[in-house]
Amino acid sequence: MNSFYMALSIFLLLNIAAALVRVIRGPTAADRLMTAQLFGTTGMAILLVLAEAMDEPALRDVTFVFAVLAILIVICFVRTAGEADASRNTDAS
Amino acid sequence: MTLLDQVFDIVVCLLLLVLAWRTLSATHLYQSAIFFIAFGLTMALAWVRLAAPDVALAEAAIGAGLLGVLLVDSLRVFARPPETGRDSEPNKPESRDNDVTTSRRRPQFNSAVASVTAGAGCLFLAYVLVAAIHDLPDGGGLTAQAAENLSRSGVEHPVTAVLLNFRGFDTWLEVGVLFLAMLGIFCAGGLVGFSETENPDPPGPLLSWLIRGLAPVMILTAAYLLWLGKLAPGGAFQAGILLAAVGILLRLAGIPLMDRVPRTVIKLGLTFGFGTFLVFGIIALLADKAFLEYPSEWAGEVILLVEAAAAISIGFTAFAFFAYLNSRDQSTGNGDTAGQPRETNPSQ
Repeated sequence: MNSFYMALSIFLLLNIAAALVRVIRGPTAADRLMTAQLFGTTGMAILLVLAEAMDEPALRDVTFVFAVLAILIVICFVRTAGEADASRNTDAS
Repeated sequence: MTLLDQVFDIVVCLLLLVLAWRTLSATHLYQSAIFFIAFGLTMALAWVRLAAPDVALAEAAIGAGLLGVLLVDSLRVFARPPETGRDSEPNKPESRDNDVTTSRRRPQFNSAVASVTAGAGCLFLAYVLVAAIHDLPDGGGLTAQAAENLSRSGVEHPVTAVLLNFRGFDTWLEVGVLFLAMLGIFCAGGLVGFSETENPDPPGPLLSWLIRGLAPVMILTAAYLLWLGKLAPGGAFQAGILLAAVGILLRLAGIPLMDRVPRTVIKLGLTFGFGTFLVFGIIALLADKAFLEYPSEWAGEVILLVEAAAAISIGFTAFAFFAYLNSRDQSTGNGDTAGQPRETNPSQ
């Protein structure tokens, strides 16, 4: 069972590596942010699998902290983009 | 250590190297920021594999929560074209990618000399690190001594025992370093910008709902981590960052938290942790004990008190980093305030 968990986490880790292409290629900032969020999700999955594989329940707390804080950067990005939209509108008028 | 374990570790190491390289070599600052966030995540996995969940927890809170939002927020300043002082459009693929180039801001100097110097510096650092590993005492140094006295520390988790009791002095000074960093930011830009809040937009229904749901969860998680430090990975720094996250969330929504709180309370909050350590240290000195030596029967309670105070201060400080930088951004790029500010403060 342990090796199954490790194989699973290696697979998830390779997913992160593959997703790096999206950060490099973009094309938009939103795509890149989306990728970072999915990194976070995959990373949390890895942490949960490792919590079983390494028999370390504290990793679930680490996952929880990741999950609670992940939304901040999205809100920051969206609010920034909103401001940019507003400034573009005032420029046009 | 099975083969699969080793494969996992090797992939983590390779990924870290690629991410570090990409962070430094990315042509756009925004791309660098995203790579840095991914680097933080992978670093947390590396700490987990090194059997250091405490550090992984700190990396999760600081790397993923605080640094990511600080970086993305700071990018607004760099993204703004200098002549208009306006923000660029981040959703358009071309304009964003052309605006935020690192090469534009790179100072002009001989790159060969710089490379050689940096390379020599890195080699020297690598040598120092390798030498330090070789100099580590056999048998883990003070591990046995710390484990022996764990029962007298007042807590069950060895990391908390070392950080808050055996080496409380170090943690006290760490809180002091954070406070100094805060003072540095104040000195660089002036205290005035700190409480300047503008309302970019009133929070929409989704954001309001999110704040109502998430802010209590964050505060509860902070309290949970603080309490957990007694028995498992957790503690003041992580709890403090979660408290700061509540403030950041409210500020991003345009709710002027810092204007509502009196300046005295902010100052008290910033110095509370450092002061509490100092008070307990002096009490110990007056009772003819060593500085920061806690009475064994009360050690658990004292540690919890000191940690709670430190968490509040760390929360205030981390939030102040963000609030100050954020208000500075806004004060240089205002005029794009859309909609009616929902909350006005007549005293300002």
